[in-house]
Amino acid sequence: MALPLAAPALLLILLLFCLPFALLLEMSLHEQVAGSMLPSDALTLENYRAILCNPVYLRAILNTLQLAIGAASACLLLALPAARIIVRSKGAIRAMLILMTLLPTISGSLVQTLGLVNLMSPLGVINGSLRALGLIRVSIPLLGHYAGVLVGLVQSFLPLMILPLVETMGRIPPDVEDAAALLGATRGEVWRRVILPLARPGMIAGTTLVFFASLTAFVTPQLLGQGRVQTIGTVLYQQAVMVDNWPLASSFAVLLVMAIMAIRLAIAALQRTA
Amino acid sequence: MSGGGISRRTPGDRAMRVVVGLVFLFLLFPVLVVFLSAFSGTDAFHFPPRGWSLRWFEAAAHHAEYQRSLGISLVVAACSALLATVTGAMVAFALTRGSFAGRKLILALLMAPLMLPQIAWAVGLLELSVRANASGSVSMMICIHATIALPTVSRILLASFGQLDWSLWEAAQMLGAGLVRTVARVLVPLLAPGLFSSYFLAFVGSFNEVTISTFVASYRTMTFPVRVYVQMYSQGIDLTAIAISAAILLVVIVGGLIAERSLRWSRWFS
Repeated sequence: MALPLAAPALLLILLLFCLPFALLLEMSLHEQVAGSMLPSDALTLENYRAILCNPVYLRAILNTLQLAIGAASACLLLALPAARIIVRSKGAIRAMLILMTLLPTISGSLVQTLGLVNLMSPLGVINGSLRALGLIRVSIPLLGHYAGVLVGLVQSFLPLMILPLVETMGRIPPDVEDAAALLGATRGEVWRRVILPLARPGMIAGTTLVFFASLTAFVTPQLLGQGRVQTIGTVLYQQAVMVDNWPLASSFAVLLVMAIMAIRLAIAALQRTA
Repeated sequence: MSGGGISRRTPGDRAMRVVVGLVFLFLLFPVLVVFLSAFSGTDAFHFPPRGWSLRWFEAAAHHAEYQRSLGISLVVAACSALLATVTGAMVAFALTRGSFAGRKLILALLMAPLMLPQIAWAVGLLELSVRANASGSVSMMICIHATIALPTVSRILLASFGQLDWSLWEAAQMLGAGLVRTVARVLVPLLAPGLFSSYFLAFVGSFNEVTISTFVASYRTMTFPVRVYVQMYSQGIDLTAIAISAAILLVVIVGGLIAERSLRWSRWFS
């Protein structure tokens, strides 16, 4: 009786997950016929060539990579001390801190983005405070610029870094640190030679999560970039939804999937040799 | 610090506490700003705020478009969470009880949506919906949201099925309870925390889903986040939408805290 019970869930996955990706792959091999909504009948790799030779798309890919690397690094730096404090606290405080970490995830990316827009707009919190303090006269442009998108990505994906770090750092026995301190290690040395090496799996997991999430982000760059910061996500939306060029959007999506699978395999291989 | 008598509180500790305080402030700031701006007395949000009012909540109460999309969101979230929880529980039961070939494959398929980017999935789903002539169908949206929730839901339910004491199941059957009765009176009550957490997370996930819904939604299936997204993209921030979001957020936070007190669901995350 096992298989029939598994059938409904598998049907959902096959029809609404596997089939769309198969359609994507098939559509990417057709060309959009000029002046028509329909793709051509003949199979071609023309879309892939068009993407890889178009400076606008290459620029978008490069932007996204830079943003993803920036977001992953910033999240790592901010999450390490945060995870450390969570691990070291107990009982109600610990539960409270974990819930505070989860709140942005539960409240959803749209609410976060609404808040971030008000935070960074010319009349918003950052510019308002700086003006009130007399530090600036003219508002700093954040919305519609890389800085704004980067702040948004870090804010949205920070929990993805904190949670795996809490998980691995929680498993480091406090005795290990005490022993290192007794043997004369300074605070910096304890971090460098004890905590960081033992937290490595969590650091890798968190960095991978934030990197991929930023690489494929859509809402944050679309709304905080205000159409002036092109990323993979915004280009996919334009091509698929706004100009209805499905073949091109599909090819772009397939390239993204292949790149992500390649990076995943590379990370797995590295971890096996390490 | 908890490291016994060896490590003492140093200036370094205090500096770290300040840094972590700022990190959490940064993490929670957008939510605070949403609450602040919902009560704004001016047409646009200013900081520091210039006066407070409830006018945006009044505006929300009369905004037919937002109310319609909230209705769609609620229907889609309620139905998709139910679909995901029921199908997830069935497959988790099969995987826990049965040992059959293909078990690993089924597990891999269930978790597969976590491996590939949602933005690419969204393009594929858009093509599927239009080609299958289902782009205006609420049932299609429900099934899509259920599929998005399946990996999370199955993971939670596999964990709770794994902790189940199966001798209770066997005892109930031996004492003559039929299958339906055993499921309803033994299995469901024992699994209640896992089932509830699954439903809650699937519901909230569906209610918040933007990326895939934005690609797939048509006018008839426009959920609240998509409606707000479209509004924001074309005309900028609308404080009426912020007021509604603040109200929803309050419900989610209170619901989450109640769920945490009664079911301790933060354990599913650590």
